[in-house]
Amino acid sequence: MAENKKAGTASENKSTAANESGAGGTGKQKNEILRVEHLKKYFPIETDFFGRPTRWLRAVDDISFSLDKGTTIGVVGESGCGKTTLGRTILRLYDTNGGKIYFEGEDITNLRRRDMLKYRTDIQLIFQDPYSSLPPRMTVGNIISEAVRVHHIVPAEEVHSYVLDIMKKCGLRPQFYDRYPHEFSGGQRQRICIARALAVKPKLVICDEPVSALDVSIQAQIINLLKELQKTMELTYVFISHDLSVVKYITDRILVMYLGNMMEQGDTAAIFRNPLHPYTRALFSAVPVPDPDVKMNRIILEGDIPSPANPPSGCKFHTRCSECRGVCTQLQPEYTEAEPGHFVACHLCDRNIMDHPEKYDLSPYVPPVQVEKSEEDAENSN
Amino acid sequence: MTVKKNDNYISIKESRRIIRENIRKMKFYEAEKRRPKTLSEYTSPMRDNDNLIEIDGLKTCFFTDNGTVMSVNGVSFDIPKGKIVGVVGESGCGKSVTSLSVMQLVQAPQGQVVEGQIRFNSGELGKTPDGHDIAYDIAKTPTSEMYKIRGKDITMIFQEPMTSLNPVFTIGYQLDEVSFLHSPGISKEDAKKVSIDMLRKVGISMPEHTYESYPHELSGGMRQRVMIAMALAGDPKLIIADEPTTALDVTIQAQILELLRDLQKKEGCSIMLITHDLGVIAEMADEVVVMYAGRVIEKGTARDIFHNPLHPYTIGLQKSKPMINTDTTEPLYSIPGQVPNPINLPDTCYFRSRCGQCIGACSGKYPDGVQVTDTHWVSCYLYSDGKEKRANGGK
Repeated sequence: MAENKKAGTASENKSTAANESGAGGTGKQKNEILRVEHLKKYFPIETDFFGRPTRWLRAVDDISFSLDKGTTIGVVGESGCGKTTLGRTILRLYDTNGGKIYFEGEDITNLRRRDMLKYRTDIQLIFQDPYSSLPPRMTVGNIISEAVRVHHIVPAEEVHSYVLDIMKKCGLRPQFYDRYPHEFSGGQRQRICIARALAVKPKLVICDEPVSALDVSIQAQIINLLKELQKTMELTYVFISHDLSVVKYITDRILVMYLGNMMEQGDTAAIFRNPLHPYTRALFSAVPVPDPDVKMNRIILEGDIPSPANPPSGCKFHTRCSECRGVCTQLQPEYTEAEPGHFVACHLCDRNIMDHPEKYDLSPYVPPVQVEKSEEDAENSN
Repeated sequence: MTVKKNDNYISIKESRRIIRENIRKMKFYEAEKRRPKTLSEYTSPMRDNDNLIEIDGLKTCFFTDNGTVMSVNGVSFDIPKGKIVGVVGESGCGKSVTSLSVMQLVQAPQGQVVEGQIRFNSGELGKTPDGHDIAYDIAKTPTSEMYKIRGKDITMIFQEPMTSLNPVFTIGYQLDEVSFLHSPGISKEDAKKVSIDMLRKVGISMPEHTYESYPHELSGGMRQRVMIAMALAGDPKLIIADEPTTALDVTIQAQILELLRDLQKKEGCSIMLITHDLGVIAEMADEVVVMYAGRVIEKGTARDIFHNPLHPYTIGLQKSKPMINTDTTEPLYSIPGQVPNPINLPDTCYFRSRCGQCIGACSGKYPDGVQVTDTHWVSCYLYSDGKEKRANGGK
């Protein structure tokens, strides 16, 4: 009975989220906690004589999404696609190069350090590697209570009991209070990291690959803990991960990134049912399924992710895309709404392009043959 | 504040005793390795000629200052010719140490193979009168003899392609080295030709260019391809792939797995694939070995393990992984507790404290294995009697 109820509310939440994002206006919605508009983060990679940057690495390029209270958005993509940079830019650990970040309707994009302080407790981060993100010379109690003391979350005399309470919630025993991080296994360290993040009563938690470094059986424990805490503390997660099966399990919406660009965004169920972008399809088909009899129609991507310092023209994915057309190499695709609440940046899903073969080059694109050239070279050198 | 009692506490006296004992043991095993041996001392007949490797009761210890860690504690399994055997388990279960024992690369002198046999059927040593192939027993083979096998007949692909290539030499130099070592007298030009052939075989589009470049110029996937090329250069009979795709992205992982499978079919070698990803195992392996705390707890064909898992640990492991092809919002199953401390393990089932299906017999000594079907073997008291009934209703 209880499970049925839970499942029912979950699906209701999902459908309301879909409706609201389907309405998709720029006005602030009631339930919205975070909105990111055309966020850009560039890193300088070359400077001229006077130290002014001449070339930029576009780590995060024009990302927009909004997030409702109590929901989870998953950010997926290969390494080097800018997912971590996105998380850190939302936290204002990096300054932006354009775009806006609204937290609870408040523009926090250009707040000064001192003004940002009051938002610091609201947005917290859980790191990937629990082995390097805990200070080895502080006890668990100190690690968790440090931020509580700094931000005066509870009166000084109650800190100890408050920390013990948080530890209990995160599945840590009270006698761990005076121990040091090296005495714990990976799963328990990740619990300490979670407790540290939650001790300051955040509203939004950015989880940067929180389970990637853990074993399968421990992964399940941490995922369950995150889900349970979301329910009891009304948390909102930005869940950054490359493990699609975990993302599917924990998220309500998914944002697919490639080389700093958004490729596809929509409800988790919709994206898994009907992935529109060829990159999303390839990404999903590459996940191995633990069943020897399931034969996947695997789309194997050729080659590696191109260097983000020198991205391809047009659609950034066209060098590895199996359905690449001529237009893909020239025009950057528009970010369009293919279904209600399901956005995609691909010419193949864009009616404005696909219905006008006279205007755009829609013939399958054959790359200039670099491979053959190299074989010629080979023959010459041999 | 009260002083907590720590179970791991060792007195100085005790610690000194352990260190003295360790030094004595390590000296003994090191001397044994250096002792000149006759061929008959380190060869032994195979049980089945179709197997390439037979591991029998292998025990590998690490003598640490806190006590002896039995990393591999009586592991037995076979690797048939031309098959892919997957070894799966959590970190610290001894899967890597098993593979290092096969390569005779265990960190010495702390780590020593103390018991058991690893029979490697090289096919060059002839047959016994009753028709069994004579094989090297790698556990006893002297190091000088091992140089000829390691890197030629048995090769290894490591987890981290970034750290297993030498950053100060070109890819070409490192690949040529394999040819120079294993085919003495080969000319420089021939070695280069072989190396470039290997690079082309593993799907590198511009092999001449890659031959000249340094490891830092290549991406992770390319480096792993170079490692595979290096492993193939000696025309091996067995490739040990120790988590070959853990450090790579899913799309690159798919490429590398496809490449490994193709090469295995083409070259007809065997692969011992070590990973903790059940998906990778299901996709690649013909046979699966599940390890826990230094022991094999279940082994069988991939179908046996994935469609009819018997050991509670195997079942728990599969249930705890969210699947990409199913929809569920219920909490994931998680195995309670943690892997036990590997020092001074009790002689009971190591999974007992985490197991939800304990029965009275479980408090007895470590369970013997049960051959449930011809291919399926499990080490659990649940199946030691009335195994047919349980096995059929097991899932």
